[in-house]
Amino acid sequence: MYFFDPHVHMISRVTDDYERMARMGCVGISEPAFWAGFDRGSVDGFRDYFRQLTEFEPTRAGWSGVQHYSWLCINAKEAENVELSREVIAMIPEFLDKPGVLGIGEIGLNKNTPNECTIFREHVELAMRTNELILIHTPHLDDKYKGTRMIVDMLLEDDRVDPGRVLIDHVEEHTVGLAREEGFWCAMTLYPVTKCTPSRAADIIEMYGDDRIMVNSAGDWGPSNPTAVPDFIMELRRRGRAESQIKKIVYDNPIEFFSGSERFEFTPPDVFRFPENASAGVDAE
Amino acid sequence: MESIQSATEVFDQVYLDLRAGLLVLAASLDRVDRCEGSERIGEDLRRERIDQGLAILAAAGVNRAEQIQVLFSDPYTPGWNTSASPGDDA
Repeated sequence: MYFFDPHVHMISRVTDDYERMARMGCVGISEPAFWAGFDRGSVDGFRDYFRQLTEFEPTRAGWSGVQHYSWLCINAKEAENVELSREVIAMIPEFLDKPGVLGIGEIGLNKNTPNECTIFREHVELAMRTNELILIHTPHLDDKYKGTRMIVDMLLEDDRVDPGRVLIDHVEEHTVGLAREEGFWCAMTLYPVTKCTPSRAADIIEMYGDDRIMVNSAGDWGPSNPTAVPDFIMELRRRGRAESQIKKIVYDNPIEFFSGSERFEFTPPDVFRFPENASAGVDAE
Repeated sequence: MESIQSATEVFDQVYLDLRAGLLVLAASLDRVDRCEGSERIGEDLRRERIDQGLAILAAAGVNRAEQIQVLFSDPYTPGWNTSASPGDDA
């Protein structure tokens, strides 16, 4: 089955992961800007990061026939440096006309602090001013419920925010309803220990339905699995779900949401042709 | 999109996972209690939460997972963003 991974940090993964994902049916991914594992020191550090996201990663993904899209922001973990955050937000428009940039993300909260709220609101302001889609990170573990409610509260403060153009990510049993009640899109992350298992994600689908919802691996530099979406597909098959029902969640829904961006140009797999420069033989050193 | 399997089918499918999960719980708590200083763990709020989570598991219902998620969540105060200091912690 063809699938999208709508949230995976491929910059942290090796080219072999693109290849394995493609062999398992992955035809497209979207990659939000995130925390590198350390706080970056300057706006130029982010400028280089955004160049990598918008220039080199699409090329590297193309070697395996995977279509690559991206989101831009400064992550909530770095929002405590308000001055740098504002410099990055001011610089983001340099990249908003790059092919494959879907919007602003993953913005959100981490520890639910006042500075994080300030920078979240300023990201939302940028997205409203430039008419971009928004991808939202919700906090981890004990902070998630409170943080998700605070995020929804802040989004509802702004009459310009159309919930149909906002994707709230990393929802679990106690937060999926918060997102869906207000009309937002949402996504579940299939992540070892701290987020959803494929089985729990399937349970949530059974309880809340398959509209405006998707699943992702959020594969990154930590313990994670970039082929988690196929695990979810297998779980639904074991439960007797029709292929068309599974496809809606892992393929149709991401495409429907991403289509809200004018820069989402997707070639369906039945007509896709590998780029002429596609080659796994490019040396990294 | 409700389950299309019967309760018996689902139970057959998850029984060994449930059994294994219970054993992980039991063995982990045994391991803590075998160690020196285990009596102090009883004063740890996290241990209390584990007991509360076990009580949720033992009760009837169809939203135990959500209840356990809320148990392990920081409290939220509605209206936090309408105070004089926007962005203050809820």
